[in-house]
Amino acid sequence: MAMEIQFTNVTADYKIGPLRTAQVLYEINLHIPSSSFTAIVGPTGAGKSSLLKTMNGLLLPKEGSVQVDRFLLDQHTEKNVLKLVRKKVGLVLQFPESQLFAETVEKDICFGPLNFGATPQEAKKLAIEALHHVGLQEDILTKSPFSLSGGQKRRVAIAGILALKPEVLVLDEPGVGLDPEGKEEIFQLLTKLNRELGISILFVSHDMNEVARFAEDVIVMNKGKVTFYGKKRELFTNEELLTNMRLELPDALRFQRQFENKIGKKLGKICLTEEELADVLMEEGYV
Amino acid sequence: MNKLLLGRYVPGTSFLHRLDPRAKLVSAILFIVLIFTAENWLSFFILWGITFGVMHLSGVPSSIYFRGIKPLLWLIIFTATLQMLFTTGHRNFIEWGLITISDYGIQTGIFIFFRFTLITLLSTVVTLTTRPIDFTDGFTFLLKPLQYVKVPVNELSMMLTIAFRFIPNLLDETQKIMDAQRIRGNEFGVGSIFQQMKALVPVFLPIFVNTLNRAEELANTMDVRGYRADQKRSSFRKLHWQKIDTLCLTVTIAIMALLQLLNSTM
Ligand SMILES: Nc1ncnc2c1ncn2[C@@H]1O[C@H](COP(=O)(O)OP(=O)(O)OP(=O)(O)O)[C@@H](O)[C@H]1O
Ligand SMILES: [Mg+2]
Repeated sequence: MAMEIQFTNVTADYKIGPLRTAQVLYEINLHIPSSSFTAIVGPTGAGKSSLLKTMNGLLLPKEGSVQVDRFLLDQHTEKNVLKLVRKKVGLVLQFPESQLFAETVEKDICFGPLNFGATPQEAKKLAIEALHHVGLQEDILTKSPFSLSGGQKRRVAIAGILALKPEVLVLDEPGVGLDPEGKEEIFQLLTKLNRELGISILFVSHDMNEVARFAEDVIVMNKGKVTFYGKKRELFTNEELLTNMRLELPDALRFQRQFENKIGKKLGKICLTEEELADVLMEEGYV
Repeated sequence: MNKLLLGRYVPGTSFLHRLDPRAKLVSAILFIVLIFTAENWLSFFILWGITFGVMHLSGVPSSIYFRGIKPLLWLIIFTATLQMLFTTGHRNFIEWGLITISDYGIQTGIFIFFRFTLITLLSTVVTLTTRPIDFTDGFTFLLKPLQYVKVPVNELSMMLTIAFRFIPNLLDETQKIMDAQRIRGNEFGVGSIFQQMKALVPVFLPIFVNTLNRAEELANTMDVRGYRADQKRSSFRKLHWQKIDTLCLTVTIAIMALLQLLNSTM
């Protein structure tokens, strides 16, 4: 599945009524390859959510263009093309559970597929498949989405997007507001979708542990610009970059730094996760 | 919906922004009365001039005003056209069943068009340059006399404040929900009127649910902080009447008198 996203000199702003806001994205150039797993980080107001919206045509570039597969998104893109793009790029907004609306979970999940022209039977099949992906049972289909727990709602909302069979899945802070277990499950799901189905995943996060554990690439944004795009290890091994961008360290790395200070010696490898750290500590004979 | 300008506030430091909301409200009301009672071309000419002047004073470019009233323009044109088609006068140009186009009808049509456009523009100027909170304060002040006939002015004003306060939230939320559904292939503003209405149905339920939730939260918060409806309350914000406000009102009344004079002599 070849699904690449190419940003070329993208600038964007919002319209509020007939007024326009200040620019929120400046000169973005990015190439996001197929089947990648990318985290987007940066301080609040950096334009992370806005960047996500440009990938799916909710926010169209003022200048420049975003190429999704063979479709070009800019000011002149027509509505039917937007619809095709939206089928390919599934976007899960922040707190998606507040946007559930139908009387039953089934109707809510089927809403997307039906809009994209599936028959009711096909839609139901897609809904069940999507539910299994997010780890929910079929008996939930007849319940009201408003009667579910927060974590269940979030998963139903994600299932509503998965039912569109997107080739790229873009999520705005998917773990926020969930208990640790719920968070873990969501990211396991994303990892599975990425590995087994080759779906590209992009997610916004403020939690560097999530980034260090699950992402492969990282985009760092600041004030509407992309200030770094590369492998996560490249980011976390670059002290200067980290301090310049005021990024927190993952817990494991922070522990490693303190440990190294105490023993006055560097470990052989920079560790991003607890597992790596445990392995290195064992290997080098500290425990 | 997102295009509508009426009811929005744009921060600024213009002369109009600095006016006391009471002066602005009273002047606006007087002008609206004037616009309604204007009956000849000269009056409209003057009123257009004043409206343009005020729009200029607000510091917001006129192009933005006109883009802002575009969504209402069709409604206004529709009303004016009806007026034009069904009014008889001295000279009827066309008579066809119920439809008559007359010199008088054309004039009334144009005047109606002027009236609605002018009123929309003027009200837009007021809301653009007045913070909602000042607006309610001014409004409450003007309603004060009604207290003596047992109108619950304070409660009304609280309701108004809350309503104003939540308009932006409601707009934001609507936008979010519509976005969330666009993502899932729901298209707004395409197809027949019927299709367009149908596309909006799934938007209303979440807005309703969220609004009710928010109302309940707000009520609880007010209870927790000890809000009691039946108590006399003072105000944290004070309105300050200044010279420019007196000036503004004087000019308005002078213009009123002038136009009255014009009307009676013509
Ligand atoms: N719907 C909107 N209308 C107008 N301006 C907006 C809108 N959404 C975002 N903005 C503005 O765009 C800028 C970038 O916002 P964005 O939501 O993309 O930031 P973010 O990086 O996602 O921040 P956060 O981490 O807080 O979610 C901000 O200055 C914000 O005020
Ligand atoms: Mg955001």
